[in-house]
Parts: sequence; structure tokens; C-alpha cells
Amino acid sequence: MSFLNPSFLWFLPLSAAPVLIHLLFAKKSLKIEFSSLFLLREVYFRRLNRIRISKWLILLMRCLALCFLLAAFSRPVANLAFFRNLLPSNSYSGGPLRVVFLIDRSYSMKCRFLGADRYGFSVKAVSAALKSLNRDDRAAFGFFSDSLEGPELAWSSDFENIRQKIRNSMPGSKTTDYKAALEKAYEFLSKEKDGKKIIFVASDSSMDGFRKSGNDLSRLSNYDSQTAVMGLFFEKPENNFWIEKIHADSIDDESGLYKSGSFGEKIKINSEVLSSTSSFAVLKMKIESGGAARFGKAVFNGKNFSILTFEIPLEGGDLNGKLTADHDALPEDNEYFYSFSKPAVKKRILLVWANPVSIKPGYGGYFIKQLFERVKESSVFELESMEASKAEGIAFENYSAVILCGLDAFNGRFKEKLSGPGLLWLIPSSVDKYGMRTVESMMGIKTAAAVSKKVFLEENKENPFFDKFDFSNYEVGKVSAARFFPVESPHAAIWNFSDGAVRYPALILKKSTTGGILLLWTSSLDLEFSDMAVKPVFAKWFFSSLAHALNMDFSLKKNMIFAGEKFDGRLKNSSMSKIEITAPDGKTNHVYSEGGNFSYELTDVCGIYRWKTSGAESGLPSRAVVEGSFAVNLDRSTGESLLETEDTPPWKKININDPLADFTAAAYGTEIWQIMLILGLVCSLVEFVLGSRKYVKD
Amino acid sequence: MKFIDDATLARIKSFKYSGLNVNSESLLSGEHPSRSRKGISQEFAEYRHYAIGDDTRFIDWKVYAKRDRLFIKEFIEEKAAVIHFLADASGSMNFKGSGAAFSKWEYSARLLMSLACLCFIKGDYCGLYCMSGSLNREIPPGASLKHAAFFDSVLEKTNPSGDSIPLEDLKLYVSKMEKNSVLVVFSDLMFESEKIASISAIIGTKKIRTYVFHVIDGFEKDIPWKGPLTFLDMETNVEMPIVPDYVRDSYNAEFSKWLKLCKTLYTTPRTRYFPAFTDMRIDGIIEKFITLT
Repeated sequence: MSFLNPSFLWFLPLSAAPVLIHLLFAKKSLKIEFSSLFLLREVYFRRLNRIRISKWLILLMRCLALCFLLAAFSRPVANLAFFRNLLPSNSYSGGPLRVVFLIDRSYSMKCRFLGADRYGFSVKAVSAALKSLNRDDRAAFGFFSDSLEGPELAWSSDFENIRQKIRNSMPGSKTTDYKAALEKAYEFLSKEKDGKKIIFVASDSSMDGFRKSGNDLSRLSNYDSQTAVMGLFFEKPENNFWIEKIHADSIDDESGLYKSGSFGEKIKINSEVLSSTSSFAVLKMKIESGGAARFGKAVFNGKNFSILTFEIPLEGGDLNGKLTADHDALPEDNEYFYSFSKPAVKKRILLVWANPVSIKPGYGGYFIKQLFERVKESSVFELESMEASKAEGIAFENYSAVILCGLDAFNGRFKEKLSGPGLLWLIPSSVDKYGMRTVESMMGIKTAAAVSKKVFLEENKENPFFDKFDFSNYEVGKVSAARFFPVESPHAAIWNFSDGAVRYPALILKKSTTGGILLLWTSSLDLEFSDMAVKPVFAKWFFSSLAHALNMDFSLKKNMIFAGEKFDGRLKNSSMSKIEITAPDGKTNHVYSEGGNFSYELTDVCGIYRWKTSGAESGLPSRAVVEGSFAVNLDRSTGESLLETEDTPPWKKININDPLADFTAAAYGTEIWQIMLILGLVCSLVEFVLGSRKYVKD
Repeated sequence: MKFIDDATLARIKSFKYSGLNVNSESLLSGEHPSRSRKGISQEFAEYRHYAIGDDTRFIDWKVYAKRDRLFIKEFIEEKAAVIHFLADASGSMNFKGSGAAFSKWEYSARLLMSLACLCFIKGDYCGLYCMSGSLNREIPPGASLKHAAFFDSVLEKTNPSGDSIPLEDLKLYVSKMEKNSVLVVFSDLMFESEKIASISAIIGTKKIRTYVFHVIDGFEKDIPWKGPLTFLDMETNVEMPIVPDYVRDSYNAEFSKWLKLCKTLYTTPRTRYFPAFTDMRIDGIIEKFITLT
């Protein structure tokens, strides 16, 4: 119920006046002497409860009479069908309407039933509502899925144009989130001062849409209780299943890159199918890859689907394809696209030690070896390790980097090799005076004696290279060292130590030479002097530093993304190239690479996207065309595929079979001041009758 | 006298009253027949066989002549009746509705005095007992009209107060009464039905003739006041706020039930019940009393 003249509601407390008068001005009773109260007492106590109830009832009736009178002056408007039937239709009121239509384009709106999809029913409902609007009314509309899409909301009285635009649109591939769209709508309506405000959510009340906002609109910013919110409601389909994800042996689930294996072998692909129903089913599955198709059947026992495994031969290069299950009410989530990519050529790293202690647990060489064997980021590297004497005959130029572990044992060995190209990473041991002299002469620096002091790794916010590495889940500042070599150097420090107040350059010192790069790690990796190697952040920190030294883009590339996500591609060369991207629907777009990287954001359509460089502009000497692909899938993780609708959405439900009736009932209202007056009169009448009752009946 | 004037006395004397229909067992000679039939009077009682020692004056020689057997002729002995007036002097008897000329006590006193005078005139012996929870005043039975002056004096000096007739006192008083004496009670009977029944039972044990005058003020019946009032109980001084309008009808019904109960309990072969509203003529009540006795 709303009020056209709500200022009168301020007088509502006046309706409590009878109670106040009763309490403040209670009559003082006369005292009379009476022979004996034994009969009176009996009668009085027998009727006491009734007398009290009657008294308070009279008081209540007086209050209610006043309340209804004040309510009548406030011109209340109700939107119940009962009142519309009772009072003439021209008594609709509430001022001109200001309606914001929010049209859901999430992929659950593609769910089909009764010969149309949910989006079709939405369009029909919105069109009916738009048709019912009057000349003074205004409407705005916006599409949304996980956020409000398209242009800003704007008022319009050209309802036919709005209808046309909504009709010409279609659902996308994103999930639902009501929070962002509703907050925008509330914000937009808050600027409007006149008229009755309405938000029409043309959505399926999808359960996953309430993940962020919960089932409580009042928690949204700019929430206004005077704004009427209404939305469509759909039943859950009887049969619904979807391919939740696939998993392939030898393929990294996150990146879609090969982990190992050689081309020409077979790869096993497992499908994981889920269902929102509980009836037994047998699902036909098909996998298409390289122009060939394979078939299988997944059996659903009422709880789980059997996992179906397909064996696909690897023929080198990228492996693209799709897995398809039988169609149901929502066919889109019964397809899963995959695109597995061959990784770039691995960079060779050589680890050399002179003292065997270095590769025992607790020492630097051991930790370096463990990192390369166990950590995911190491997949782009290939580590070889050998004792110093064996390494003498090795050509360092064949390695991207050489790590010398425990400098004191080298005694000037490899000095001639160090002038060659490549990266040399020098790690001192715990007691390292000879080694340090060698390093001093190599690096052209001056080191003081080792300092024993508790210092911590200082976060590197100055070098933008490290921004692309996500250290948010690690506490960099808790990595400590108890002993290090203070350095006086003209060279750049990549990382520094700090005790919280003073910075101590440097943890890693970088010297660029004509032949290559020298890195000096001024602390030891002995556990006795540093806990660095056993901290979780160490792997991240080590590989990011290695990538920095080798000028690599170390960030993981994903070949399989969700609809709407940005695809990050990488080229082998770093010069600018024009890249043509062909979407699954055949549309082509172009982007330019920068520093060997490119991004593509128009990924609303699910399927396999193919990209290639334009040979003439690729910048490669051979003008060869570089090409690749990636797969875009629906994001099933939010629960959108469940197609479950919220039984009690925080808005008025609009029946999809007769949306106009429900819309008008909710949007318009009937002025019911007459009814308030009648109720007031009834209360007065009841008060009069009660007041004049003789309380005869027992 | 305060409670009876000469005009009333004259009117009472004019009543054709043959006296209370009682068989008096008192030692005082008077107008009422005694259970003992050996008395000296004009009224024949019966014949009986002569026994040695009988007074030969009472032998009926005519019967002897006819039957040849000696018979003694016996006559009903006439003795004076002893009438006990019991006045309820509880606080409630002080009540006087604004429409009444007298309080219940005054009205009772007037009625009592009238009846007493009526009895004195017939030569009956009358005693008075004013009884309440806080006072007891007694005048032993006497027969002369001068005794009536004592009655009047005591009634005038009595200021009703306290609870209604204490049962123990009543029991004692009744136990001291001769058989076949008369008890005349003046009370408003303003107490619970149990007590009303107890009084009835106490009187019934002695098998004496009893007349109960139930003195009521019209305002007690109608509670005609308006608006919220605080009622003060004249016997217990308890206060109770009541709006008479809210309870009047129920109270009237309850009052009628109570009157009916009193009437039922005090109407027995030996007990007569007389409702006496203070706005009723005293002469009328006495006439009714004479008619029923």
C-alpha cells in the first residue's frame, strides 16, 4: 500500500490520543457507603475480565477510528484485485509510472519449454507491460547477466522502440547476477522524484542470481522501499543435465597446455556429466576431434553419471574439438569445447655445484633442484645439474641460464666462460671468502664481510615487471635471512632486504654485460641462515626473478576460458603483429599484439576460436603465419546450469501465462480512502455499541 | 419514646389481635394456652379417670351419675407467651438509601417497637437482644408497657456496628430460650448463603416459633447510582471501585436469587419470613403479621 498524501501520516500518532486521555484524565470515583459488598463483589469479579476487555476494546475502537480517518486523509492506494473489483476502474492512481525493465540475457534464459525459450516469454511479458503504459509513463531498459550490459539506463516514452530492441536481442553465455543490475536500477530511479517507481526484472528468478545479493533487496545500495519490484518466475524443467567439465590426461586442467607426452600418442579425455534430476537416464555422448567422431553412452543411476572416457590420437600441434551430450531443455550446456596447446620450447637451465654438500637437503642446490622437479611454473624450463668438474667441458651458451651454487668451491673456475652470452646466477655458500673475491672481480663490486642480522625480503613495488605476478596469496615480507653480504655496487638491485626501517641492498644484484647477465644472490640458501627456501612464496619469487632475468613472460596462458572472459595470447616474437581472430559463429575481428602478447575480449559465443597472424605484418623474417586456437565454454561453476529458480524471490512474482494482469495489479493501485472512512465509521459504531452495552449476559 | 409515638400506639391497640398462636410453657400466667392441661380456665380440655389424690373439685358428678365411674374434668391452663426480639445491630443496618425515610436500623427499631407493644398489650412477656460482632445488649422479658420504654431506650442508644449476628452468640442465646417461646428476628441478612443457612439451622434445633423480618433498603436492590464509584463496605470497611451501570443487571439477578434463598430457608412449619423494605408501611407489615399468625 502506498499513499498519495503521505504527509498526513505524520499525524498518525494522534490516533493514540484516546489512550493518553484515558490514562491522564481518568475520572476520580465518588465514595459511597454500602451495607455489604458480598453480593456486589461476587458479581463484579465474575464480570471483571469482560469489563476490562470491553473497556480496552472501546479504547481500541476509538484509536482505530482516528487511525482510519487519518489514513483516509493520506489517500491510500492499494493494489489488490479485491479493491479494483469494488471501486470503479478509473480510480487507479499512484501517479505516472517510472518503470525500469531489466532483461536477463544469461544462458539459463535459453531454456526451452512449451515451444519457446524463457527469453521469449520474457520478451512477451515486457511487451505486454510496455503496451499497458500510458502517455505520461516513462520506461527505461537494460540487459544484464552477471552485470548490467550495454548503454546507461535512460528514460524513454517510445515504448515501441524499446519493445523492438528487446525483441531483437537474445540471451548470451554468461551467468546471472541480480545485484549489479538492481543496484544500477535503484540508483537510476533514485534520481527520479515523481511518479510510481517500478523495477520489472524480466528474468527467470534463477537461484544462482542471488549469490551476491542474497534474497534481501534491502541490502542493496540505493535500495528504496517505495520502489515496487516484480519479476517473472519459471518452473524448473523436468529433465536437465549438463557436461560439468572434462579432464584430459597429460593436460593441465587450468591452462589447457600439455604437461608431457609426445605427439602421435593417444590422449584420454574423461567427461563429467551432472544432472539436476534424479531419474535413471542413459545419455548418448559424442566427441568430435580432427574431423572424426567417436560415440559413447553415459549412464545416470539417479545420483551420478558414469564417467565416460574417450581416447583421441594426438597428431601434433593444437588439439581442438567438442564433447556433446544428448540435447535437453538447455542444449548449450550439453556441449563442452576443448583446445589443448603445445607448450613453447622449454628453456634449458644448468645447475653446477663444486661442493656435494650444496645439493644435500637444507642447502641451496637441493632446493633449486626440488623447485624444478615439483613446481608447476617449472614446466617451461628443463633443468640439468652436474658437478663442477664435469661442467668444465660444457658449452654454457647452450643454456638459457647457469646457476653456480656455493661459490667458494669454484676457486676461479669457469672464469673464462663467464664472459660468454647467457645468464649466470651466483649463489654464495655460508662461508664464502674465496668465492666472493671471484664474484667481486666478475661483478665489479665491493662486498663487505658477511653480516649476521635478521632481515626480511622487501616487497618489490618499484619494478613493474613483477606486477604481472600474483603475490597476493603470499606474505613476501615474512621471508627472512640471518646472514648476508652487504654490497657496494653501481648495478641495479632487483630485490632488497630490509629490517623494517633500513633497506639493505641487495638480495639480488643484476649486472648486464656485453655477453649476458650476471646475477648475484647475496644471501645463502642454507637453512641455518635463511628460511627463504622453505616458504611457499619462494617458488613464485624464484621463477618470477628467473623470468625477469631472462626477459620472459612467465604468466600462465590459458587456452580454455569461460564465455565473457578475456583471452590472453602470446607470440614467439615481441614485435607488433596484426592478429585475425575468427569466432565460432564465423565473425572475424582483428587485434594487435604488443611485446608478443595480445588480448581478445569478445568471447560471448561458446566454441573454438581460431587466431592467426597476418604473414605480411607478423614481423617474422620468414613471414611465416603463426596460428593458434582457444576454447570458450559456459561457466557451469555458478550453478546456472541447474536451471533452478528461487521459489520465494524478493519481488512480486509475475505469472508468465498472464503477465499483464499481474503487472497492472502490482503497478497500479486503487485509491481506497472511501474504504478507510467506512472502516472508521464502523469502528465508531462498534465503540458506541460497546459503550452503551449493559453487560447483561453472563 | 423515639421509635413509637402515641398515634401509632393507639393504632396498634385498635388491631384485632388474638395473640400469637403458641402453647406457652412459661411459668407466667397469661392469655396463651399452656401444654399443661391442669390449669384453671374456662376452656375444657378433656376427661380422664380419677386417680387417688386428684382434686375432688374437678370430678364431673354428672358423668358419674350416668356411668357410675369417676372422671376428672380438665381445663387448658392459660399462660403468658415469652417473645424474644432479636435485632441485628451490624454495621450494614446503618445503611440508608437516599430515597428512604429511615435507615434500616431505624426502620427495624420502629417495626420492633410496634410489634413489642402489640405483644405487651396482649400481656405477653417480651425480651430484647441487640446483637452484632461488636456489641450485645439484652433486656430480659417483661410484660408491662413500661418495659417498652426500656426497649426504646436501648434501641436508641445502640449504634449498629461490626459484623452481622455472630453464630456462637446466637447459639447461646437460643439455647437459653424456653421451649415454645417465640423468636422475632430483625436483620438485613447481608451475609453469605452458608451463614443464612447456619442461622436457620440454629433456630431450627430449638423447635421454637420464629418470625424473621428481612429489612431491606430499595437502593440495596437497585444500586441506582451512575458513573464510577468506590463502594465502602459498612461492616468491614473494605473499598471496591465499581461502575454500577456495568454490573446492575447481573447484580439485580443475583439479589433476587439471594432474596429467594432467604425466603426458602426461613419459610418452614415453625418459621415465617417477612420481607420488610424500608419504604413499606409498618402498619401494613403488622397487619400481614397478624394475618399470618
